[in-house]
Amino acid sequence: MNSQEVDPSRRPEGPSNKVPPAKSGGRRRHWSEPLRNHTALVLLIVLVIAGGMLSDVFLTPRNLLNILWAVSLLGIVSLGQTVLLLTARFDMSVAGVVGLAGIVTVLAQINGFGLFASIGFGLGSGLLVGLCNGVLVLATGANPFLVTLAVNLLVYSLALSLTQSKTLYATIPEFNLLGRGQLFGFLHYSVIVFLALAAGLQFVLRRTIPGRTIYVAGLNEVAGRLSGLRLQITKLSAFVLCSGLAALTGIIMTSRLNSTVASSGFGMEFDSIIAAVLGGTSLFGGRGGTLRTIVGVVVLGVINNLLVLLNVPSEAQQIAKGLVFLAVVLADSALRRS
Amino acid sequence: MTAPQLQLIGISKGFPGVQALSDVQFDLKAGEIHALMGENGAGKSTLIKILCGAQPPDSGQILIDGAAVSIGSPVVAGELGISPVHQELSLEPYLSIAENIFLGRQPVNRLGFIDRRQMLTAAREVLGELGVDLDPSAIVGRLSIAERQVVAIARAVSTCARFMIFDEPTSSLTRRESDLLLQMIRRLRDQGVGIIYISHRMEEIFELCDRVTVLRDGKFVATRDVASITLDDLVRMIVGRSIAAAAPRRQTKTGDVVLEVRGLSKRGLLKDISFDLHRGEILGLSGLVGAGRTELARALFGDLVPERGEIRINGERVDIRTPRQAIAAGIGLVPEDRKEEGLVLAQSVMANIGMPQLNLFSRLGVISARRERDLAERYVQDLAIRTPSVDQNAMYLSGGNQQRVVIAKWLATKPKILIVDEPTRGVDIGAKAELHALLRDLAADGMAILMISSDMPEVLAVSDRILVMHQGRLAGELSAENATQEAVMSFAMGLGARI
Repeated sequence: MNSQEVDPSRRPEGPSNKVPPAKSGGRRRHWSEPLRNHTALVLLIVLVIAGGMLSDVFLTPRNLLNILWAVSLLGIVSLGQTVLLLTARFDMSVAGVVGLAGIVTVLAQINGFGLFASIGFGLGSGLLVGLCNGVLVLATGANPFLVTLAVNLLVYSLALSLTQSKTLYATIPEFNLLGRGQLFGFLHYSVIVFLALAAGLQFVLRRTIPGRTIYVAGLNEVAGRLSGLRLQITKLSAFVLCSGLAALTGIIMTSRLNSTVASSGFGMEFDSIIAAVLGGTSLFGGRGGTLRTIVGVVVLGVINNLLVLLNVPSEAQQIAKGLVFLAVVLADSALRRS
Repeated sequence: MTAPQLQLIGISKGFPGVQALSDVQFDLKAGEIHALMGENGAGKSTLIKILCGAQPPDSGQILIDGAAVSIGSPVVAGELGISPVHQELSLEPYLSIAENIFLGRQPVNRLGFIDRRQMLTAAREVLGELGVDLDPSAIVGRLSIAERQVVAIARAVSTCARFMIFDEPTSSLTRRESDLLLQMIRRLRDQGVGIIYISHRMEEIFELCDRVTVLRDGKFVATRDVASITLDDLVRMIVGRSIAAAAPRRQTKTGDVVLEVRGLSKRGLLKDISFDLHRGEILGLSGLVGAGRTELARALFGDLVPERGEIRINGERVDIRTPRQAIAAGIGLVPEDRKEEGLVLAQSVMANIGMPQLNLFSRLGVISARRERDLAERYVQDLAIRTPSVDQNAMYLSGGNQQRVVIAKWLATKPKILIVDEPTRGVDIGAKAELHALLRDLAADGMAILMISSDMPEVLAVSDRILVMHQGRLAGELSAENATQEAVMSFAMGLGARI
């Protein structure tokens, strides 16, 4: 009610309504959107400055590229998670899918399928899981967090039984290229894939009908439905996209190590949410974007990198991650209330 | 009469960019109903917030029984006997009536546990005092809006409030429910409670209130005895100009039948509904809440799939099973609750206007930002929507302007048929008249409009023809010339054409 009372646009000018367009920042929203919520970016700048002072190695190009390379895999998972978060839903099964997709790919190679066919099988396994997630959640209205948590268990068990809990090795030598290859000898393909996907998805989210529908799904489904938006199919696609990107991650990861185990995605379900929220995507849907998620994962990467460079024991690394996440979640809730 | 017990003197309050109140005075006596009126943005809500301790004034004095008090928080307001009965009802839906009434003050037994039996008895007593028959153990979430309001009142009564504030209490109620509520408020007055009453419904002010204070643009205009003024006086005080009396209805020359509905049925909701809607006609749809009006709108719009019946548009049978198909068939729906159903509040005016027909200015799914902006700017101008720019979030607009955005988004789809459900609920009197004029203009341009409204004067003033629903059926039809409030009510209550 109060927002109406203080609404400056409602001035007592009688019947006249020719309010000149305000020179507010509104018009320039699209490109500045990723900067709007400065917290993560400010955090990143502070960390980079601190890192430069604390360590001689940190600011070397080689180390910075190394950070990007280290986070690119989590980054790709986080992009899918971001899209799903925008619809106010989660996918806790990405960890299982990362493992499963790698295993399916390698198993296909062991069974004589070629490079692209094996990758196709790996991706397909992920898309299938995404489809199951989406159908289960959307058809039953069950809590997406719990449904995908259960699916994660199932997928992980499936991966375990496929490998009989062993490490599997890829058999096609060229498969290595995907995870280890570099453009111009210094830029890993996975980094390029991550950044290109982030930019591409940002375009889809901001400029296309499905993207618009994603945001409305997170903000007000009823209004969207009554405006004729295709909400169901779009939400389903978001689940499939999320799992598909997790599968892609699993395949690149397998290619990088040339081997895979069922647990290779361990922890990524939470880390991907942390990265997305850290970047400024709301847990409650409708606010955020994939460019922000780049900042989110890079912050996580910089923290890890610094702690390693400074020889901090790994327990403390987890503590740091936990504290950062807690701070971000609290900030997000506070922002939502205001 | 007695001396004022509650006095506000020289109250001012500013927010960044706007002076919400400047030097406002107000007083309230025991046993009176004092109306507080003004357009949205006049400062009523701010004044109430100050009184309830939700916001401190920048300057000014509040006296209770002649002694200056400082109302620093809602708790203090409660201790001083000031009790708001909220517009947005603040009840716990999963708790019982009794628990809601005594929330935070539940009677306890010797062991410190809640004494359920005593609580129920006390609740029954309070409800009895109000003259209503509600089971205190009923769960609040299952009650109607009117019943919830009774619970909110009972809560205020049980705190022995001396001053009660009613903010738009009847805006969501049917006529009959409103009458019961007004009776209850009179009873409270007779018991010596001082009541501040906020409403946009003029007839209630004259029916119920003893005095009226008008605010305009944050300034005090006047306090008058209701008995000494006319409706015209009051309107002039509120808007600061006179509103042309409802324009005489244009001679109804409605055109061809656009929409034919035959035998539309849905178990428990709609029974054998048949009617025609003509080009250029405003067809009013009246009835009590729960009579099936909104369900009918939903069925026409594909959001509720009927079991039987057919719909023809321009003579061609259409099969509408989703809102998307309805939009394609040329139907628009301005839903009942603009904030929950009509708008995405957190998105811009532009995004809201573009929403129902994004494909019109998209290629391969990519939205043309320029064409979306052009469209939005055109309709903002056409409908005189007051917003600093089309990039403004819809949530920052006033109620009347929000409703215009919802209408704009449908006009942009160029519909043949526009269904409007409670088009002026909760908007102020000036904006209401403007919305009525807008609907008439649209009809004059050939739009066929189905208007659902619980606001009887609105139905009578705006419609060319009136359908009345009762328990899922069409109970009667009235032409604008024969329609009276009594005739409509008679149909709505299932009494037929008795009068």
